[in-house]
Amino acid sequence: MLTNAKFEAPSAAPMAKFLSPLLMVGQWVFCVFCAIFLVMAFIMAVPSGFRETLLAEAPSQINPMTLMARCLAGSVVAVGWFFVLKLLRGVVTAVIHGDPFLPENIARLRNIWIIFAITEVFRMFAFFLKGLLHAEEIGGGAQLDIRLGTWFFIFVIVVISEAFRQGAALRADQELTI
Amino acid sequence: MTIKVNLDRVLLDRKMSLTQLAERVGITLANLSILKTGKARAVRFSTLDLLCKELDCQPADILVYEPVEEIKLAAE
Repeated sequence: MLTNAKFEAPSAAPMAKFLSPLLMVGQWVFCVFCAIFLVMAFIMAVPSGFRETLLAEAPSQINPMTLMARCLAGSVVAVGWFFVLKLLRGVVTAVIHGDPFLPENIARLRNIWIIFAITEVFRMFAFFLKGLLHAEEIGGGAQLDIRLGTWFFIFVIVVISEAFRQGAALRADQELTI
Repeated sequence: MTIKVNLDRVLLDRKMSLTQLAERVGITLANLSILKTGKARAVRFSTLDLLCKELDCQPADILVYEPVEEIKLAAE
């Protein structure tokens, strides 16, 4: 039997609406991490009583310069991730507005995989340098640490970026269909 | 593009402006302008149907196939 019940359309892109505030929170978290890493690097770089107290309380003996280098590397990675989340927010906003295949989104996805690749290469290089400089302490010598999982992840983003490129081309065709 | 749109010629024959055609067929002036200037990538059958009905013509009067050689010769 037919009724006059009104069917409400499901809210557009509920997952994107859910992710948007999470990404904003993530951005703030990486901002805070970056600030903490930079402050720690500064503390380790300048000789002071506070630095000595911190190093004395550490469970194992740490070279302040090594810790400073680690903190700087951490801040670089935090900045990278901050920009990745910023770009992702742009993509998610476009999805919420119902138009994901914007030309801007292609550039955003391309920038995301480039940032991931750069930070990963930076990490590999930093670990290689660490191994080279502290070969005696570590015992294994300098090794290039290639994480296949991360590169596979980058490859997936490259493929999604290409899919978006095709989607944008289809959108352009659709716009010029009369 | 080797498909040429002869909408301007058909409109001239019917002594009709693009604005009048847009009002009669219910297609925006912007879209008809895209079609007339040959910038459109595709034309729906429904659009062609409306245009042919209003202009009392055949699709072949509006769309013409011109091989690349002919376009080059015409340009020269």
